[in-house]
Amino acid sequence: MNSCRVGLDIGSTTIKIVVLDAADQILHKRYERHGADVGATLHRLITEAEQLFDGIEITVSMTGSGALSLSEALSINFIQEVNASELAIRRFSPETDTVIELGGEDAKAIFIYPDKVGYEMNDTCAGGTGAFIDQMASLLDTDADGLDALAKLATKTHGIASRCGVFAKSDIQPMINSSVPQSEIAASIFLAVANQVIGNLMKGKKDRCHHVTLLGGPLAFTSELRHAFRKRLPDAEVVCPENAEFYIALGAALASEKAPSTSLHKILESIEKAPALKVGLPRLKRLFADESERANFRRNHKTKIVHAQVANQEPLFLGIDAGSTTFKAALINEDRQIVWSHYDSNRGNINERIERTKRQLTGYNIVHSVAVGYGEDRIIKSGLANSGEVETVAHLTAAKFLNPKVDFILDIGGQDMKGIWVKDGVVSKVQLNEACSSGCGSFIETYAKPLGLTMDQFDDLACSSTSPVGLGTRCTVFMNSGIKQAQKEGIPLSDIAAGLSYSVVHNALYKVFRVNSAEDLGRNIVVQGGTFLNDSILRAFELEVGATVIRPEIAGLMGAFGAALLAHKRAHNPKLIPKIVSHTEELPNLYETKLNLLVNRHSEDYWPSHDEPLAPHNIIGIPLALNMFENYPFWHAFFSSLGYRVIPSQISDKTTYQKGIDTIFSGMVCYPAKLLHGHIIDLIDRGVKRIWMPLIKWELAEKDQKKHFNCPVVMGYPHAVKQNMPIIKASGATMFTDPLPYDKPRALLKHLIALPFVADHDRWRINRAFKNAQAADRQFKQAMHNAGKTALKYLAEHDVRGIVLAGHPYHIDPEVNHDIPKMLNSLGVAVLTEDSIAHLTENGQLRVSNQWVYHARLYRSARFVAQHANLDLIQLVSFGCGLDAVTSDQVQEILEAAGKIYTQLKIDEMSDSRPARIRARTLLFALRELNAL
Amino acid sequence: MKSTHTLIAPQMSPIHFRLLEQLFRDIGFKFEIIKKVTPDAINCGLRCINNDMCYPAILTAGSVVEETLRRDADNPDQNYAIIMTQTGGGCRASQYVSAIRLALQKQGRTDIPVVPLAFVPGGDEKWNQLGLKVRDLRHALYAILLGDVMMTYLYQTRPYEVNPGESDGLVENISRQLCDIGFNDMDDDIFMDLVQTISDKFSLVAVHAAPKPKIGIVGEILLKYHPDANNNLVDIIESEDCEAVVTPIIDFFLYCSSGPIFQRKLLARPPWQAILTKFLVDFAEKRKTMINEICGFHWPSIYDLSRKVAADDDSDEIISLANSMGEGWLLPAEIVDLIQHGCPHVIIAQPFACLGNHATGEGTRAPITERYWHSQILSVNYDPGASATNQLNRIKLFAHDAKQYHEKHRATP
Repeated sequence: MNSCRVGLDIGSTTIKIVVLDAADQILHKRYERHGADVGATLHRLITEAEQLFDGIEITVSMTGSGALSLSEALSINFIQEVNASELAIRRFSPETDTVIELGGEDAKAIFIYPDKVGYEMNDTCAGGTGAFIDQMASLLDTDADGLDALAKLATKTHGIASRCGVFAKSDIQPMINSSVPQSEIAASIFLAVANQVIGNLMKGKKDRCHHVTLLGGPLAFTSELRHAFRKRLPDAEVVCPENAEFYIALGAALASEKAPSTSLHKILESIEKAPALKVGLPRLKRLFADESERANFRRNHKTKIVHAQVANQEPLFLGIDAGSTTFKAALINEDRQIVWSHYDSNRGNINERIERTKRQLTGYNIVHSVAVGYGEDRIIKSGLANSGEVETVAHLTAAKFLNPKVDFILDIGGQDMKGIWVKDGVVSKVQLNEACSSGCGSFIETYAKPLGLTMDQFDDLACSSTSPVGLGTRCTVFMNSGIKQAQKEGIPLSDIAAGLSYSVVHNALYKVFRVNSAEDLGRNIVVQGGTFLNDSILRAFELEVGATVIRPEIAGLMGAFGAALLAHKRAHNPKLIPKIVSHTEELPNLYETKLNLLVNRHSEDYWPSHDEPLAPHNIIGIPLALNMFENYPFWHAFFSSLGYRVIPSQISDKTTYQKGIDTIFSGMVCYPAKLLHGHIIDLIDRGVKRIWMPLIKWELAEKDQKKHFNCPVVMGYPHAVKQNMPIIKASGATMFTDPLPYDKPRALLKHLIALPFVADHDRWRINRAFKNAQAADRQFKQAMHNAGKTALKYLAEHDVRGIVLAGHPYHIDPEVNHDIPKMLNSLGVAVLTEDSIAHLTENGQLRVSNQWVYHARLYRSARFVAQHANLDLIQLVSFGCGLDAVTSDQVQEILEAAGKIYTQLKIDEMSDSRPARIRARTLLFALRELNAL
Repeated sequence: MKSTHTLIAPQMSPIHFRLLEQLFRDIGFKFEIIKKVTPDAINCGLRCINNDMCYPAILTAGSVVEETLRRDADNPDQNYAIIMTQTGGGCRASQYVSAIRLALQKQGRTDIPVVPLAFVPGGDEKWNQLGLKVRDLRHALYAILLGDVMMTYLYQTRPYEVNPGESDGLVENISRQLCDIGFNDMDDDIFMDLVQTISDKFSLVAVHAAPKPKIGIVGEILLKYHPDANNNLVDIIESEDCEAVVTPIIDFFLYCSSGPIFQRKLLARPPWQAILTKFLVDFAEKRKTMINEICGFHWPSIYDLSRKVAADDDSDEIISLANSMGEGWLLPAEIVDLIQHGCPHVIIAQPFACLGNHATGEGTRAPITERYWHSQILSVNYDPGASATNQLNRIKLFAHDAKQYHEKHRATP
């Protein structure tokens, strides 16, 4: 043997080494998890190789995300992993045109052309990676292999949001709770990964892949994941070659040809000599100066709740809090002392917990029992509880028991986080972590587990840190990168652990709750939830807010204890048991009304009958997305009057998003925009050859608006979609996305007349069509005004509360609003739209520049609500809507100035409406209490 | 306000804004541009600005609020005011003023005035609250153009300099000289002399001849020019042995002003607006042409740029010229211009939550690479929490591509 080529692939979780001989034969290969200790693992692997290839001249290259600074420190040739993949593919799998490579924390698609390569990599915020699979597996109490084995048994799959682990989790949790077989969940997780990767990385190039090669550890080891990819790419030949997990390392070995020769022994030497890597991350204040300070701290945080023994057959009151991951119960006596309690993980099987609790409590005289949390309905159905309540109210009740003056409660559980602001004993604001779980307990667990730490060990380590590292706030995936960087810089685990504790607190305060300073939280703070049982997190919280807080001894049980207190109250005053609202179906729901006004779903236009052959030249298709929820009546009337048949795309459903997902070019835009892709495909599928979606920069101004823009996405997205959907041209269709001066009727008419498919009509017909269009637009708006009037009358006559669910026109899309209007109806309130009442009041003084049309209605509807006692407002905000970052602050200011409660619901792809329900129920509870004052 | 308050303005491009600072001082304001964006400033932004706002908003508003409050605490007898641009377009940049006001309100500091610097009349804010004159506008144009000339020379020269640090030293020297000269007497003759001087000085820098691969930078305006915001993107590119190509800032201002010209027909804007802005734009374009002649640059005019994306036959245009929110059509136009001028590798510096960029930046990548097959476009995301490692890894990959392309095309010209 004369000389060998060595390739090292240092990934985020593993190290791969291969040794190649001159004939490209693999002489040696190893794949090892480095458990964050890159240096030691590398040393071990090289030592091992050195024994095998002692004294042989080698060339070596390094690749992978962890190799960047390491290669510099060791003066080893570096090659970026995409380039390494390309080299390996061209050598070992030359027929490939597309590579899909999943790693621990990254996902890539590489497009191999004869003359160049193209590539797409996952964003800093994205699921679809090995880490995502591990995270999902831990939800089912297994690992990636276990998930694979489970998925083999599946007979069907379910839709899971694939955009981000957090969203996927919120889809999976209800499945676990409603006992969907684990095998089906497992298979759905793999399908979600395939959807995510293909949706996020293919960007319209799916039709070009014929020979797909799958690379990387997760794909090499997980057959069901490969299967999911085959299912998603039915027209391509999908291959996962032997050594798929080593390809990148192989590419590095090939690339080493250009590097100077050396020996493994020399590399070992340089690893040993490598200077301690420099520290570049910011440091934060240490949690405890020394052990005695911690001991002191522990002494101060023992707010006791009295426990007692059960006397014979005395009346007892039960509270059960069935959370997303835990099952908690508390039993109290007449003196509100805890006589029994229970805290356990529900392991995805809530029925079993219910049965066990029933068995444990037989023989006790339980007078009343209240259930809160995820499992509320099932616990009541099972007979274990008499009534239910929303968990925030239970938390409030428990906190008030400890400190009647409490003004802020922070509850951090496994995946849920709640901040409850209390004013004069009544909830003034509730915030939950709808779109992000990065500050929760399971977040810490996700990091502690792979490092081989229990939560207690983690806590102790964090408390002992002398120089906690600043990891930043925001998404878990960012945190991954921060931790990676810290590990790379050789920062001790204790400092990383303490940094994570700070991150939980920073995330909660600045990301989820958006507070500006500690004063925003009030002076009497009670913290609850299992996560606060960690001293490090509680301490970080105290240091951050600069206040002393109460952590009850039973921090993890407070929901159940509060529920028990409620049971106690209800047993003594049955009037407090919430009434079941009946006849909710006749309550006004203007979201429904508006949708029906917009498109008549029962007319022929909407569902062209099959007997009549479609004449494509006579059809204009309009995608029902974005501003078409505002402008559809206008265009429908205009083209119908000219004799065209106008066909809207079908109202969005679960499949709409999936249909268009392959062509979505930016993961960051809002869900309503992403749906547009599916709507265009729907029209094309139905044979439409002419699609109408002009660029409208200026909308018709609202009252007293100097500027009257559409949002940048509404304006720019249609044309961008057209450019990114080759299927439009391929199907022989055309899509009109030219700009039109919609805000200037005369100019608009002139522009329209110039269009080829309008121009061949008589001038008088065009004029008439235009008049009809304007009338249709007016009528549509007038009809909403009338509906608003009728609804207000109904409220007054029936003494019912109304919620103005304030959003943008496209929020009436049921796939966008996830049936929140119906949910609100079911809670016994009427639902109004912002445009049904906005015209009834003035703009007033605004801090922001009132320059967007849809948003102008928000300000005025907020003002109208502020002036009316029987109305409240909930703002619907699509995730990623930057403009609503502006409007929501302003709407909140208007409402709070009038003493109203501001509630915002963030909505996205995920369909879990639970957080929305919690917020709405809490709001209604607070309103009941406010009115009772 | 001139005599009573010290105006604090945010940073956007250190080379340019140093000159603009001098300009405002020459007009008679006590004027301070923030020199450096610190982590404290970003934290301040995260605390006091709605976190769903884009990164540039958090960074800009955070830095002015932090700086002003800090100075205010250090010098209690001084009065401070914040000056902030009000672009008046459809993107969130036009809400910076209101966002800063809310931030100050939350700190209980409504006594600190926030003065909008509006580009166009007709918004909710009173226009031209600083009482600037036409003369000042002309001088601002000179300042920006001089900055552009220095920036272009710096990036063209630094990667090749024989004596490291020479180009940076030159920019420092010239900037100091320009500030000494001041803007009070600036006219076309002095301006052209200055351009010639800059050109002469840079031509004396000793350079290595072998060309390096070029990487263009486009993107959201703050990220494009502000090294603290883009984690020193130009330095990274240069450390990868490539040359960074950054188009002049003046084009952004011309693009912002030229809306009425391009949208007169498309969106039926009033003709008088078009005539007025055309006058202003042409005034600047004439100076750009003169610079091109002296310096041998190929700065395209804003009209040339517009034609790069929107053909006369607009059925197949990359983007409509009506799309003028945020960086709008300028961004793809600059990409195409870079590709056409020997720089087929372009990075889009893109903030999270930047609405316009995700439709215009991401949305035009495919159609542009379709038309210019040899080009590669990379978007790099920026965010307060984004990891520098991640960005670096992508940029390294991209630089590798650029080098390979460069080698191949040098071998077979």
